[in-house]
Amino acid sequence: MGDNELDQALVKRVQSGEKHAFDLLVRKYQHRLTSVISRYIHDWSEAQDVAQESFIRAYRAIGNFRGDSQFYTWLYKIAVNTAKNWLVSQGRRPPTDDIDATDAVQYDAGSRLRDTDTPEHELMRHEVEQTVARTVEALPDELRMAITLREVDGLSYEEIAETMGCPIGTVRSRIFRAREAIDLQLRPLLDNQRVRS
Amino acid sequence: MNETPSQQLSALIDGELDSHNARFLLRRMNADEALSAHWTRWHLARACLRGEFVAPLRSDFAQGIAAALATEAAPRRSIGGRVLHWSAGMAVAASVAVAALLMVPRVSGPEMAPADNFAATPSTAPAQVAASPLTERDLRPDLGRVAHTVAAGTDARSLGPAIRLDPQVDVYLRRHGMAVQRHGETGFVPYLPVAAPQRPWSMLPTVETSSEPAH
Repeated sequence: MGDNELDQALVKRVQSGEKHAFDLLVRKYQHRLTSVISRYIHDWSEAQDVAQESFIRAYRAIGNFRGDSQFYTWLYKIAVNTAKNWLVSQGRRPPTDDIDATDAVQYDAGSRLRDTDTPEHELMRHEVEQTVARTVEALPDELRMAITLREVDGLSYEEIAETMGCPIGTVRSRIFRAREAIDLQLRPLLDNQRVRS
Repeated sequence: MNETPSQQLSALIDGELDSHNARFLLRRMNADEALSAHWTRWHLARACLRGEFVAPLRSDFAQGIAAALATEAAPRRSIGGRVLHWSAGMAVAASVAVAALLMVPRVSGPEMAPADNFAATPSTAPAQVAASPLTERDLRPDLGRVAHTVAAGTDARSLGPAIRLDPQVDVYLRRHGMAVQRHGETGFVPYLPVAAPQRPWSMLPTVETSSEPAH
């Protein structure tokens, strides 16, 4: 089951009445979608409100999603429209230049926001990013390479196995161990941030 | 291969878990909070590594959406997506057909007054035309030595210059003209009464018209 197939499976579950499946889609795309919206709405709190509204609209419309396009592309269009409508409702002019959904994936969404973000958010973002980066740097070579090829380069397990010259099962195991190592460092940090906010 | 649910989740996130185990794991995640938390944090780590992480979301971001949707009816898959398109097309076609059926009697139906007037016009028109001092010769174009053949009974109508037709067509036209005169009709009459029975060419009346006498 590929990534797209996974989304389709989750969508089908939502369409058959499983709300928890939609929660998984929210948790999967919440950062990505909010970062795209932050291109249009630079206030982080407002961007989050609009992102939540986008997810709610997506849920209401998901019965009509037939899977002709990727779920994220469909969700992305809803988010951009919601952001533009929000700007109009606030008496602000929405930007005329749209980012393509596929380009949006590559886009460094934080670049604009960082100029206007609050010091507290900047600190929290920095902590999370640094924790992940430091943990990856500290991983054994084979784990670091496996997780980087997967998460940064987007290679499949088969391609990673070919690149690293090892069985797919080994790749699978290395990626899992790398994730566990990152999670071990990330978890207390997020708990602390939750307490602070 | 015996994998823990966390290991399977890692493969699922990468789209590398087989369909059977994926279905099983997704069902399990409905009740397993720890797995859902892993799902969330691993996607956060992914967002960081891919440069999609802008700032931490408020802690109740996903819960806020879930709470807003708690009272909403579960969405249902629209089974009529394509069927709706198809039936919409059928509805349009049916509408056009109905419109056509309603329109046709207006044009040719015997009960409609405008159509009656239209049909009656040719028979009554000659009586209403005022007498003209012009003769046929005045209206006839000067075509020199070209001979004209017109059917008997149509002498009041100008068929214009004509090249001599195929004799059989000529015969048909003459018969037709006579039939029209005999029955007091104004348009074309059915073909069969005119074409049969056949009479010899010599019995048919012939009117030769020409601008100059034939030599």
